[in-house]
Amino acid sequence: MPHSFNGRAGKTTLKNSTRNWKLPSNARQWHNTPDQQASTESPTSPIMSTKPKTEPDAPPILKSASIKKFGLFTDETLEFSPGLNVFIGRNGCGKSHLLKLLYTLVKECGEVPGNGSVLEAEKLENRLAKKLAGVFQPDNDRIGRLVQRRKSQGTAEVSATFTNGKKCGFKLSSQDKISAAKGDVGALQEAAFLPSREVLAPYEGFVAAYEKRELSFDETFKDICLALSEKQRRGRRDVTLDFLAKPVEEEIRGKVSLEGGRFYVTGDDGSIEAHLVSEGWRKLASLAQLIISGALTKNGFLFWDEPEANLNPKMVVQISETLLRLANQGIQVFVVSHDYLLTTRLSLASEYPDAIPEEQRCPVKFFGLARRGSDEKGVSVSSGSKLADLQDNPILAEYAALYDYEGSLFEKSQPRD
Amino acid sequence: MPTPLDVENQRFEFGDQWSAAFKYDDTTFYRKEAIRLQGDIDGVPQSTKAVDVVGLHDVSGLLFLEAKDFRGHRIANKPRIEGEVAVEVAVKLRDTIAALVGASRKPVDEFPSEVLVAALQRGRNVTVVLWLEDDSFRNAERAKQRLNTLNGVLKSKLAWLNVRTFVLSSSVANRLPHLVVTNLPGAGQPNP
Repeated sequence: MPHSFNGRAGKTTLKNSTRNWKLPSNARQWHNTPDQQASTESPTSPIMSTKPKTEPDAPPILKSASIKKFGLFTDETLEFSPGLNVFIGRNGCGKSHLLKLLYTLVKECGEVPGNGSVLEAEKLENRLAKKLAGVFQPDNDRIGRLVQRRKSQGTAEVSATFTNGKKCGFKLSSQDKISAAKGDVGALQEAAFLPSREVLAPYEGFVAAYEKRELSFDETFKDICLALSEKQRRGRRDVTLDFLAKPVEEEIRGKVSLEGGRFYVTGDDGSIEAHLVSEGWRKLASLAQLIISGALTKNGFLFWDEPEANLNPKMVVQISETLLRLANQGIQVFVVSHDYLLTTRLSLASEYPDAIPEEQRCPVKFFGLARRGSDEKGVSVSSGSKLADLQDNPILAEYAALYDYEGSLFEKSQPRD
Repeated sequence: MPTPLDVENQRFEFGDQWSAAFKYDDTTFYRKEAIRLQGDIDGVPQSTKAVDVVGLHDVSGLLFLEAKDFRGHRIANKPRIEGEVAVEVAVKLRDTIAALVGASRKPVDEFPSEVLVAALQRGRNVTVVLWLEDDSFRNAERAKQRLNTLNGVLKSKLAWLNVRTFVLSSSVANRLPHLVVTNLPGAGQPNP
């Protein structure tokens, strides 16, 4: 039985729609502290509280992560926003590694097999080791290669703290030995990882080929293919899903469906194979599919590596608004970006929370990763609620360099003698 | 002798290599003649605008300079900083060039209108500079990003004229030859 929207066979078309989306009643409400409310007139002050008003029994999300001697991270503790987290930095600063590490932690620490509420240490160790090998793909699955390289042997220590106060993590020796305490974080909602390269086009037969090791893609590609293959919810769409998916579907001018192992985008002009539409559209279509299949749910996690890749500026704007909406709806979002437009729009959302649409309001936190000086290994991390808070902003630096470059050309065009 | 011109809380001192440098919007020709072109179109008032300074450098050619000091007025001037100011400069330049042509056809002697119009000819270097001051420019890197963006808007608005444009500020390097720019006393403070 092919997957189809609303459970109906055949193609559906996108009706004329309006942008007057109503905020679902279960939208997460972000509240300012009294001090912050008093400061809302300041155009540059961070507004959002990092303490959302959530139900006490809500599934936990990531609160912080402590990373020692893992990859480029010598000793860093990162406190996350419950809404949107944006990682920026030059190439080779460990942004994608960080994203994959956090994904590994939420993917493996929270799942509870059977009826138990505790993940036994040995089982958790095995799962973490397998996931690290699959996601990072070190040579011969030697996960010890992920430990920060030193002349002597070393041990990496990674620990995530969740909003219920529980911790989950591991110690990893350069000799591939991993150890973890029992996992008692409890059940976590789904986590989806969108790689920088879209996967709708190669989807057909991808998972089977991956399992046979015919493809040299990391495991995030397999995971997202599996998540995308989830059947779309039958019956009338949930108001929240509709609210989130509709703007994306409007942008791609159609709805996404999976039929006979292939994805299609079906709009007013009929049904088009996903691999025949532009890559930018395929990325948005993937996001729409994750939303309507329920893979992205409240208190769930979205990790997205360079969402801007191959998107035109208009789509980047759409992506920024969608990310904010997802975070507003209670999905904890982690994004790696090099894009000036995307990061600036997200920063503006943080700087002007009272001026943006209510459905886009959420706490935003930026993390700037920068290589330490040549005499010191690893990266340093600065953070803040807006781009300007970061000590090292390579995107801004490049724009400044561009200004300097044009200035030098301009100066040469103004002969003095 | 350098020619000092005070505009928007700043002193622009043009060196001897500038054969002409004057506050065009203070000229009698602008204030008494060019400005008379005004009225309503479809109920919207129209007026003739003017850039602050016109200069002619012996080597680098004709310069039109507009200065804006938004320091202390950040909130009130925010929409203008975000792009409207580039449109404002472009419109002022359009009106100024039209008025210079008009002046060259009349016995105007308070500025060398014929020489200035000749300097507009094809192949001659014409430069348009917006000199912008803003409180947010204290961080030079952030200032450069905003100046760069603004220059992109200005450039597109003046593409029809085939001129070089640049947006400068005291927080970045001055790229204009033989020109010294300094703050006047009280610069950066809100107007009383």
